[in-house]
Amino acid sequence: MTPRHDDLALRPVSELAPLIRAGEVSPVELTRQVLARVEALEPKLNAYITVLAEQAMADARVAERHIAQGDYRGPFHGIPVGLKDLLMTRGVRTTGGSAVLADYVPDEDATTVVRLRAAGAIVTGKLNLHEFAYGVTNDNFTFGPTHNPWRLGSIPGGSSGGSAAAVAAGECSAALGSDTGGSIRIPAALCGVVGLMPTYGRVSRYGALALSWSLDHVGPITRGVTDAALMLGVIAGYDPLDVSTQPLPVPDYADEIADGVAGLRIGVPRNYFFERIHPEVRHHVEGAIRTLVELGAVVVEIDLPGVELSNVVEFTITLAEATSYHEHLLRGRAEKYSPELRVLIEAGEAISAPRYLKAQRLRTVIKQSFRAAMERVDVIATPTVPHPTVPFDQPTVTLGGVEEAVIDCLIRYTCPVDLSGQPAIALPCGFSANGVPAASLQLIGRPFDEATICRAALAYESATEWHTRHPPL
Amino acid sequence: MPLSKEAVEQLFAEQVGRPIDPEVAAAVAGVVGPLSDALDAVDPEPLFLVEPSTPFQASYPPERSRSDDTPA
Repeated sequence: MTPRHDDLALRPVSELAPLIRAGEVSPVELTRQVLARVEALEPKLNAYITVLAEQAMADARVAERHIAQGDYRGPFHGIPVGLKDLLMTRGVRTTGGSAVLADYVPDEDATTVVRLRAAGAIVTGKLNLHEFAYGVTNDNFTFGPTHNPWRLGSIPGGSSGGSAAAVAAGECSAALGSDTGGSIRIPAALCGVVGLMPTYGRVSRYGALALSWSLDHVGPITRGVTDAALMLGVIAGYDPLDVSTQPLPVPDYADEIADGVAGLRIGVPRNYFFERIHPEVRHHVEGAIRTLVELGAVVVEIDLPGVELSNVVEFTITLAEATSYHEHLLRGRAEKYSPELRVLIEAGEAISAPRYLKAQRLRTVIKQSFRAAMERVDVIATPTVPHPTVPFDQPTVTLGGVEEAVIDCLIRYTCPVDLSGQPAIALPCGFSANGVPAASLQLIGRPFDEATICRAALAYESATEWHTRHPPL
Repeated sequence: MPLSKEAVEQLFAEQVGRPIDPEVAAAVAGVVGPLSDALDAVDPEPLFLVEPSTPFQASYPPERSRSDDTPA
């Protein structure tokens, strides 16, 4: 007889997995509770584009039978996961959040989906996103906006806003997102959960609809640091179908992240990352860095010259690459793009080749800057975003006397890391007095050293209680 | 000089090979103009020896240790 658990949908994978393995939690019951929350909360949140309730329950029954027979496949066996709806799923429509692909049904799974299914994960459905991942509000023109579960009517961040909202609300136990300028870490920050962008080349993007090939990353959004590391362990590794992936061994992250931060050198940038920032964000992030020092880390001040050009470089590269990707869709289905996307896709035509290459040369400068800094430190700590969530109808924010578009503001601290290709993790580090996530700590690591940023993040998470909070839905 | 709606329309007519809606052209100018201006304002001289990042290259070469070079 399985012991009674009424709160499975909000528990982290790291708690659920040993209970599932021991037969104390049923994957069928866990999936049933998650789907019950989906049914109850979707009218408010709209985190899903497609819910796969029947298939998920069938897969959960199979997982339960296999586990009972002794065929346990690891920590994601029997765990309900959601997929950003730009990851291809065999036989299930993959819309990219756009009317352009509203009826597109791929005949194969993305590599990350193949790996999650092989690990026994239960796919609950396809999650809402900013159209074609090209924005940060998740105010989707075709499928409707995803609301921030902490404050309905406000943005969840994006473009993986459905993924972060669903994880925060217990509509899945973990999710996959993608990150081109911050699209895993920004929604994680605004929804009070954990987002991990792996090193460029660590996780296959095969079967993920592209936004900008040289900047796209696929990675986990979860309720805790250990969950993110466990999920990375499932999806990471060389893939002959993605030429960017590297033939490097994938560590056993669970073994490598529990050692604490004693002696760890944490670089804190003197320039850029603490400029034009909401005072509450600064307060909480500086507090988080002090906590890491109390746990034994050593702070080293660093400079990152050239990083102030990141937004210009990011937008130039993305505009050009996205327009190239969308060329055939634009020819046949131009009228199906939202007006906002149509402008951005057309805009790439006006980026000249010399300017695209100048942006890529400036990107080299930014990479060199990070590389030089990482010779002196093990991890770089910054805020994830300069500002907490804003209402959907607020187009700009003003910080330090400068008014800027919400997207320009929210990608400022994340897109430099997409450009450098290093791994970065975002985790909650403070809430406002009104109970909404106020700040997120970003920890940036050396290439292919996701373990060290997860180690530092877990040390911080273990010393605080932010990750135990759930939205009052 | 700021990118104008007319310049975008001309670019589409002469280089892209299809017309663009005037309203979209104005919006495109508003998106691309500031980016082009910002890039053009960057002094090219310090970039003389800097090569562009290449799509799909690893951001950094994989870490190697001395033992990697030790003959077996």
